[in-house]
Amino acid sequence: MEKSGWIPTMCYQCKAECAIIARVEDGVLKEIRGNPNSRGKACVKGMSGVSLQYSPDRLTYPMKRVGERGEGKFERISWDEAVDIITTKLKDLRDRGEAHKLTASFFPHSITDPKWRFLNAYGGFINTALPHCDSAKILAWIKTTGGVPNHHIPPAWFTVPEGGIMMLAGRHAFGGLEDASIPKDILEAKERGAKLVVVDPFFTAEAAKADQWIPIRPGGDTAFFVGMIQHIVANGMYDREFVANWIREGDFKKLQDYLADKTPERMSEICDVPAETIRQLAEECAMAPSVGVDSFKGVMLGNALDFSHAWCIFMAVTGNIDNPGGQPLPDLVPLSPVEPAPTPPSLHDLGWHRTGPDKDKFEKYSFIMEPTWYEAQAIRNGDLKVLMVAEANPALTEMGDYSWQKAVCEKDENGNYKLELLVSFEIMLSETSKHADLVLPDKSYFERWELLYMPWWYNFGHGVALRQPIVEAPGECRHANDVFIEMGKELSPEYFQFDDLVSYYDIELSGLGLSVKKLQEMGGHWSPGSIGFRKYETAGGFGTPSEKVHLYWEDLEEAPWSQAFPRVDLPLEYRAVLDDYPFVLVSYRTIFHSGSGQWTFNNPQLRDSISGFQENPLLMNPVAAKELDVSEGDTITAESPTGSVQIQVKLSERIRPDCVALGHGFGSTVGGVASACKGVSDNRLIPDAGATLDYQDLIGGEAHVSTRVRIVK
Amino acid sequence: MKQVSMMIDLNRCIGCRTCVVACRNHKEIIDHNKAMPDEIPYYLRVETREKGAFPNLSMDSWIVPCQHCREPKCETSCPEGAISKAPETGVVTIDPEKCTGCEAKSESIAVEKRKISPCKGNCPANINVQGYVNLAAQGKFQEALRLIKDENPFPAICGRVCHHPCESACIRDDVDEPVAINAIKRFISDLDLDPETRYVPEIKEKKDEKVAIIGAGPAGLTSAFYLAKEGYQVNVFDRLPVAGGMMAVGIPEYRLPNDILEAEINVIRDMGVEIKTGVTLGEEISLDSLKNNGFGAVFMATGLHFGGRLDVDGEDLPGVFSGLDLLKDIALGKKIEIGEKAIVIGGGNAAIDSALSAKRLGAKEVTLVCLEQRDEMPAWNKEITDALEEGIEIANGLGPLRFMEKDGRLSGIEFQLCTSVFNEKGEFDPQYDDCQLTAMETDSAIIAISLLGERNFAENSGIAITSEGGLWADPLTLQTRIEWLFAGGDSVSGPKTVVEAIASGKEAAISIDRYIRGFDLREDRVKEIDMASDVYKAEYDPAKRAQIPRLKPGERAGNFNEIEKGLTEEMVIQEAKRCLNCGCSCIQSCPYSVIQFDGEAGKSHKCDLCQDRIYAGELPVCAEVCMTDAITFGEYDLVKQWAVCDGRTIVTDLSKGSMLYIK
Repeated sequence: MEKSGWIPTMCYQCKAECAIIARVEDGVLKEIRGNPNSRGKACVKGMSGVSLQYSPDRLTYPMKRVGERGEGKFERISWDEAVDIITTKLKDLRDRGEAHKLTASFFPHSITDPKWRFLNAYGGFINTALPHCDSAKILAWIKTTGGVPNHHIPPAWFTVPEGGIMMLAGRHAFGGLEDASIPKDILEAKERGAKLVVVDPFFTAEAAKADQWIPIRPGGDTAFFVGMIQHIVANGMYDREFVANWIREGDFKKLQDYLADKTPERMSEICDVPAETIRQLAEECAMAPSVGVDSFKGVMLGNALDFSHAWCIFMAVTGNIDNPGGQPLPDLVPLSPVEPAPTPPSLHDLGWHRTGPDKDKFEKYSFIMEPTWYEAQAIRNGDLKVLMVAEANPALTEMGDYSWQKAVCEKDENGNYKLELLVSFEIMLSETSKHADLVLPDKSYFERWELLYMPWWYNFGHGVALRQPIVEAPGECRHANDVFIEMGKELSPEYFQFDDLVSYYDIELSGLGLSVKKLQEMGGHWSPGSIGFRKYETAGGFGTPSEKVHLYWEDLEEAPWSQAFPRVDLPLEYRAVLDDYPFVLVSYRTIFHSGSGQWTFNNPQLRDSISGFQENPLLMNPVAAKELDVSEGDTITAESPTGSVQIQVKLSERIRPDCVALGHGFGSTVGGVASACKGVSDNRLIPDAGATLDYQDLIGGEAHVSTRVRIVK
Repeated sequence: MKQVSMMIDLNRCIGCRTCVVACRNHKEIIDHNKAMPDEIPYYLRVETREKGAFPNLSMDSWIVPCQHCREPKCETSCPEGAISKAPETGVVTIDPEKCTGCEAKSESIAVEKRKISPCKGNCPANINVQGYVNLAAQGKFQEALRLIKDENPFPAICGRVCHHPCESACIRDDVDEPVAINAIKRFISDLDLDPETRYVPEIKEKKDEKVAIIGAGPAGLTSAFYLAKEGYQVNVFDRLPVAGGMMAVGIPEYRLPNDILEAEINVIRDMGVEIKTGVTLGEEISLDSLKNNGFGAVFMATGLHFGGRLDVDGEDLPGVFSGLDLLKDIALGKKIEIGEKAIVIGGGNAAIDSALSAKRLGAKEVTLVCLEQRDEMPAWNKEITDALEEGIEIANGLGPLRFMEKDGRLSGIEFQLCTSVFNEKGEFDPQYDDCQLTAMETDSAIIAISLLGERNFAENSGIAITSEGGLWADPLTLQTRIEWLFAGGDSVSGPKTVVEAIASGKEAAISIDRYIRGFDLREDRVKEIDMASDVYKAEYDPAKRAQIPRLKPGERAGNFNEIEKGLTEEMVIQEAKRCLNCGCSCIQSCPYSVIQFDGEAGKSHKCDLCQDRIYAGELPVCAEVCMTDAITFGEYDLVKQWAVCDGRTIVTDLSKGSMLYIK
């Protein structure tokens, strides 16, 4: 049956998964729009989904490696053979008592994703296919409020009132990466009298629209926020009612003591923002009806948890937790469990294998998932034996100079690969699948069912949304979820007693009185339509043990250094090699690309000079370039302590003179489009995190976006 | 006039390019299965402007779809009449039934056909050469004239004296000979001589601002033409008693008849430009007086009106003339006694013209003597041929040592052998062998070696002078160190051609307009010209290049009649058909570069403002999908009203067509 007309579904060009409608004509996808029933916008990546769907590089049948790993030589095999290879290996692994040495890298579209269920049932671990970009933010909010705002829960910009302040601290909010409606929401809030402040060493698209741009020293965010907090608290400008009623007893006093020497002047020395500016913005924030802060880069540095902590304290003392225009706390609607529910393997007992000899350092690690980017390290330690990757590209996503690619090719003394099996589910060949033993053709997001249950998503509030097949998949493509269910039925049948993916979703939806069919008939989207403000009032408190906001984190008093209150210094990775590497590498994002994903980097429209971002020259401030006698268009070598790349220089006033900027995610050499375009992966310069544990926030924050570099002509 | 529009809010546009992709998908101008970056057509693009220096920066983005111009140049340029502006919407569309892609074959390489044809690319004045040639091939001369005058106010003059780099670049030369472009232009432009058929451009809204131009030569008058067209009040001052500068007093009538010059200057006068002759800067007027009289900007295009000196003995004897003065005196109708024998010293075009003029003044024997060997002479081959045809002897490799005297006047010249003219670096550095001397008898000598400008006023007015002796002006903007003073033409560049002076005058007009309106002078000024190198014409006319009729050498003696004659209408049409159509007329005429070429169909195509959707009550796709709702669609007058009511600023340097850009 070939469909025609506009069909509601969900985009998956990036992790925002915006609600879209797609026009299909006689079974052919033609156009995409934002779904007018669900905030109504789609971005340039979303629009380019049509080119993804009809890419000549689509994989259409399963393949098995015939050469050495990384050579990219494959032969066609059947699905039966492919599944048999995997299940045989997994049985063997489990029989050896090493089930926990399976890891699957994928993005869980829903907290009830059947792939995750498979891992829990089998005894392996998940990592999210990308660095845990927001783990520090999540951890900090859990510790402070018991809530779980991940990076997909920015302030609800559409709720910002006149006079409210919107602060983007190292956050590319116009990238459409939380929702395509965010740029419009921010600009409309601005038009109704809210103020936009951008704190970023790079003059971003957001800075261009901002009322105030603060070109902060990279990593100075903690000092900057603590300076503002000090000014607010010392001058009695804090939200007295919130502090009196909702902050745990004793915490505010401890905060005052901590702040005693954190004056704007002192913080200014660290963050390179004038003390006057710190005071001005602090006062404005204290007076404003609301302050909403969003950050991303700030929660990805070595001191990520410190900054996230400062952010939470700032929101608390200004009374901006869960109020209109402030930081929303998520609400959950209950989906029905699919019984029996498997018990996941213990992360603390069986996990941490990525850390190798430094395992003890992770004693206080408290995020729900393993740190992601130690796959290379884990392979070398013998802790990772089978890796299955879906919708992910660790070959480019992992930091270190091709460290992952080298590790998967490493052999033991017997000449066997240390990583015994590498499986890649992909819709087109990627750097990762090029290294895989099995390459399995996945279905695109226009060809498959998927229930999205992200209760906190910006775009549909606490609700569910349905991705549905609108066109036929080419060749023998199978959705990875279907394959995992098939393997689950063979390896852990007691947990896979449902028929198929749709019936699995039907069970989950039954708690809401819904089914896949019903959801489809409703337009593919269910939500109560409300966010709810100050929910802690009706709930009688916060989700913390004391039911109050915890500013002081006593569990981190002495571990491995005191982080009971934020450390204000620049992250260690910015201080350690200051003299030899004078520049900070700012890795910036654009709306055109999502992470290091092959989906956008091999898309002709997203690499076209007119409609996308083709290559990423190194941006240098002309003042800095002149000092080094570097001119526009020169090819230079950028060296970090662990890697080096040759790259062309583009002079730009948009970057601080002590920084250089590089667009994130480039470097793919696979695929017709990607291989025809230039570009350098910033991850080649950023050290493999496993090799720089001393720089890391081993409690949960993770340094993975930056490094210091030097420029060699 | 009815006109729909889109109002683009720069405060809202974030440069995300979502519209570009949505438009492509909707219009199905992309083959998703084959598309490669930078080869995909697009109906709109995003431009970004960054201003300031760290940390005081601003950055704006906006979209550039087809501007649906009030007077679309593409419409004028289309030889097939395929482009029209809909009366009920003002939308400009290309009719695919009529468009032939300028006779492109159907599997043309689209990227190549989107390039500029070499004739246009090489023209200093950037005239849409292929456009007017194609129009001429169809006998559409009036339309062709308009197209030429969009870029050049002196086409009839250029049709006679231009060194036509367009023809040197013409790809037809690879087949046989270049298209006789200049002769075609001359025929078209002669329409300008007749008040009935001439083209006087419409003056845009009259402005109060006044601009003064010093020098009524090609650079000065060109900027006057374009500034007047923009609505400025323009006064041109010249110290000579006639207008035209070197076109009047440096180019002899046998090349450029006076009535042609006058006709084209009259068009400029009729546009309201006041040309005041016999007015000398530093005497009747000064920069201060101009400033005090309310001129917002001044353009100095004073040219080079002094002949260089040899600095050898006897140079001031009676019978020794400056070539420049000679040509000027002839032009101004003064009587000159040249004698029977004349020697011209110099190897350039001015020397040739001095020699040919001496011949016409009655000299029986005229010898041209120069340092250079024949192949080193700076004169154009065509001019050297003219001279040889008329029996002028050329003596190469000789440098004058002294002028000999008899009875108080010139009797002859002694020359020394010039062993080399240029050094290893290619610089002018003549070496002589003074043992090898040659003496020639003569009644008169004409020195035509170099041209110099008058510098006193510049020094007195504080205008910077370059080490070469020219006025200093920013090479891109022609602005001098005095911000309201601009300088161009030969007085800045040294001796160049008429068409180069025209190009300079145009740039000056752009700068002055921007200066007066307070816009950035430098922005978007550097244009990279990507020229077509391949031809995709379905089939070409094998005819040979037309022979241009000329006076026989015998018919030239003793008169200043025009040597070259024009082609007939029939010949022009035939010649124009020889064009290989390297590019596309409409694409080359579009000031906004928004027209695309469909290689497979062999046709041009572009944004039609989603006309079918407009009729159905829907928004153009770009407006519908805009992430930030930055685009408002509606009638031009209405959306403009909205902008005004909201207190928004109209960004006038962008809002030139029918799209409205606001901040």
